Amino acid sequence: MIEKPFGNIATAIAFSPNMEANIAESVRIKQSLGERLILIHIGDRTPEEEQLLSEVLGRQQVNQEEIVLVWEEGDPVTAILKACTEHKVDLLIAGALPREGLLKYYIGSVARRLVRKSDCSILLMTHPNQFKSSCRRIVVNGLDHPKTPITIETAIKVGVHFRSSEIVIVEEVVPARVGKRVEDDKSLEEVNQAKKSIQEKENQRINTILQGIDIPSDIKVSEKCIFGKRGYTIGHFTQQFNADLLVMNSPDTKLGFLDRVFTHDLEYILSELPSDLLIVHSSERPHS
Amino acid sequence: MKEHLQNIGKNIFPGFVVSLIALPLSLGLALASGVPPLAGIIAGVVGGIIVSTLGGSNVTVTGAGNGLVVVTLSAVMTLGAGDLQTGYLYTLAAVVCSGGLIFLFGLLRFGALSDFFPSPAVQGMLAAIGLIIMSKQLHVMIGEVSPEASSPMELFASLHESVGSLWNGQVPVLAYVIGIASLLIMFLYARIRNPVFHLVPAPMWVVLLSVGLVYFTQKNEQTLAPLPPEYLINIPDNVFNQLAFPDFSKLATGEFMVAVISLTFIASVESLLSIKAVDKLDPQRRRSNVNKDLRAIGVATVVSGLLGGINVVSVIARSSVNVNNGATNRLSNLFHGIFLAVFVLIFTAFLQHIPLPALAAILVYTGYKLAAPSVFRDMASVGWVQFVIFLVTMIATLFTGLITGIAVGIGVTLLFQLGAIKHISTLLRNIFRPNTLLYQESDHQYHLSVRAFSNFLNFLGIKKKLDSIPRDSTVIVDFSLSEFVDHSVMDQLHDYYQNFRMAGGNLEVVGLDDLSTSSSHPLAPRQSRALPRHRKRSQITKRQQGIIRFADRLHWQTFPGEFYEAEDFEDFKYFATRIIDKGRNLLRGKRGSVRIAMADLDYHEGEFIARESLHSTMICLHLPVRVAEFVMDKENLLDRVAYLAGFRDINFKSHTDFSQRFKLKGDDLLNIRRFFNDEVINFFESNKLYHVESNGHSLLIFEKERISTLSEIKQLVSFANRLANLLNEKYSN
Repeated sequence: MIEKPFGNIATAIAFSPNMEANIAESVRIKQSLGERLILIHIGDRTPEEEQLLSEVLGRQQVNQEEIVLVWEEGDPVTAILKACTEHKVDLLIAGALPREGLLKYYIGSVARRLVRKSDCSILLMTHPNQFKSSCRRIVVNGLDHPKTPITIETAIKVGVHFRSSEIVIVEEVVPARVGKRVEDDKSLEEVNQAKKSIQEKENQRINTILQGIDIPSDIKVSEKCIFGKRGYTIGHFTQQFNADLLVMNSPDTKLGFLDRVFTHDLEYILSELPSDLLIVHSSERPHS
Repeated sequence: MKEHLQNIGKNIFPGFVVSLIALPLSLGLALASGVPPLAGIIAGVVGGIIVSTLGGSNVTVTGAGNGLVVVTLSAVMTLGAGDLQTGYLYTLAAVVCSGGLIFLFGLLRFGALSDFFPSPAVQGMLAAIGLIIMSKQLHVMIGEVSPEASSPMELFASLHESVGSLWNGQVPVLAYVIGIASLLIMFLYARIRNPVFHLVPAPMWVVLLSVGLVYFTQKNEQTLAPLPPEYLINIPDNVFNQLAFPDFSKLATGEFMVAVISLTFIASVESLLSIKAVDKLDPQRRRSNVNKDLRAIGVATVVSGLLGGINVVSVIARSSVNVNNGATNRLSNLFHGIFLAVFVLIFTAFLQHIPLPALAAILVYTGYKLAAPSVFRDMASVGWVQFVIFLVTMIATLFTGLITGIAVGIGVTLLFQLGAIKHISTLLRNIFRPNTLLYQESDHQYHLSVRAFSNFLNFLGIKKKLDSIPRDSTVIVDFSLSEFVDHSVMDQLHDYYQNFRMAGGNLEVVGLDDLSTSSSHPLAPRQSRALPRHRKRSQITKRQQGIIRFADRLHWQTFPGEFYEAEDFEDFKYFATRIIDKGRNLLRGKRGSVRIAMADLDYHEGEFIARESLHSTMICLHLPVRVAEFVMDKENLLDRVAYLAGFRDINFKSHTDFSQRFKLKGDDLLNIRRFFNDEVINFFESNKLYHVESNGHSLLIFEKERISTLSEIKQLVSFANRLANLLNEKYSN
């Protein structure tokens, strides 16, 4: 059996009609991907709420020892981040709307602020619901970056535990790398030749990464080299491919306000989630 | 280059024919632009020579363009403050500057820019140009060579005065007789499908006949009063004596800038649209290097301006004549320039006898083609929004000017698209995103997915992606993630569809089924909001009823509606230089292992004023086996087709009668003889003469270049059925 990709998994809860669904989903994810579930409750600690929460937890079919309840107050983002550091959280689960409203797009939602500030991996759920089936198709980035091998490995582990059938590694190549432009038939041929050789190189790079990873035979892992804008392309592909989960490297720099105005890379995906999104945190830095 | 030299012979003739049509057009367009007639010829000569050497397109012809008439004239008027001669010299300076700008556009790769303009707005602008040209030239055509009014509206309003002066006898009879007869020739030319008559292009007929008449009246003054000299074109005896050179002294003024910008804009748009359209006519399906061509046009314009000529642009009508006469490369454009120069230098005296009303008639026809009722009908059938944009742009252009006109058109288009409130957030959120995704599915298959929305604002992205795909592959354009797709996009995708089909590939659009339209036009814009639909139930004609009953008896399937993807028929040599616009009344059936398809097809050859719309009822037999490629017909039809280069005449010694009656051409002698065994030859001999063509796996059969009557259809179907039976028997053994 391939080991679970994460140890401590955390999620924030607040009293709402969706609370039970969210907890159930988190428990399910914890069963598949991690050892312990840390529930971070934001808000006042009242006896009624404690009572209600223990009822909900009691209904979950899980070993109660593997669930830790943390009570926090104040600004949700600060509170969640504080709890994450204190409890050595590896994966934070957060709910997010599939598409942000125009206003939120420029100001930032809780989920977005978490992505910007957290030091652990984050799973953004677009449609938390109690009856979620398994995660059939996973798309993972195959950028030429030191973080990528860990991301791919994590994606495959997640795939194994979510009983996925297909994982596609997408290598986004900026068109500028081709170096030529299509103007007529001759240049078209040259461009396609150049693209082909880039494609071969990219696939070779990914194959080297895959050689070091244990892939069960019932998961189909394929690679796709797509020419287009970084970050945007993989999101569009995920949507087009009807994938259930997109796995990305964590950003190298903390994203700021300007990144949202001049959308690039991960921001394309954050502003319009094409599916559930797993951002794998790793401390690898690009070679400078 | 080597290939170019080998094809010299093949390109002299098309170059010659093009120069025949270019001569009257250049003279006329220059006159209509308010500059000396020679300025148009200079543009043609310089354009032909320079663009053919530096350009990046293959069979386009360059010279004076009709779109520029309006801007050039207004430049001459404003810069010269009413004085045509000084205005002309200032305009030359503007032409030189615009040439520099066009060159710069080429360097900056602005070639894709023409796709940015919403097509209803461009159509509206072109229609306005047509009306403006007509407004002035109608007067000249009926003998009022210098009407007082200047704005297009005043000109139309004062038309009755010019007509009135015919009755008063203020105008020589000969003037309007020539004008009206010339117009008739222009209109009737396409109707007369006589190969000998078609050897000379219509505008040249007009010139030849009118000059003949002028000479005749000068010799026989008593029969008919000859035209006074002001009704004849003014060309100096020695061309070199009167070359004009640009005057740059107004360089820094605002009106000069406006002139330069307008010239640059219209010249670029006209050239780009022409290049795009001509690429579709190229039998070898080559793709032009638009930016290289723009640079060449820029250089040519600078040189033309320095020598006293007007802007050089790529022109569609002349290019289509070029293609139809068998041009294979840029050399024909070069020869067209050389012949044009030779004509002017040698036949100066002949040219001096060209009557102005004859040239005006050619221009009226040109203008009519730009603003014909069919243009309005087509636009209206796409949808009311497109029609409104078209009309508003046209009216704005008529009353203000070209640049403001097109700006208004773009503005109105934007308003309409923003007005559909449901889309405004989609548009705003996604406007700065690529919204396109292209990936290769397998070796020759690509998938292009378009998200959110697709209109003229982001079509450039789609275009870039489509251009990077080899044309012989299959592309699936997927709109299932889009909320709305506008007419410009549908229109241009249809262009791409034709380009891919012609190069052996395919383009399929999917994901539109969920989006509704406001009209039943296949290229109507699509959006996800359901609009109230008023479906007009189109009447089924008697002929259609007959066809349906006939097909029912044969147990064939019928599809009486219009269709735009005529896969069955496109693949034949006959359609190498002709473009199928649409089909109707598709029947499908089967005889043994031969599949049969029959349809009424609308197609055209040539473009713009050289465009001839054709209709025919054709049958296609899909054979289960491969056979040789050949073309077979009566002699006269084959002689007209330029595409048969490389095919040889084939005769059968044992069937002299067959060899006499039919002209059979092909390449693969052995297999052709294998196909035409005794039984097949006997079959053809004992039946009506049809045009029969094989592309290796199917046969195309038709009789006339017009829609067949019901009884002709019955004969045609019976012919096809019996031929299918024969072939079934032949190939089952």
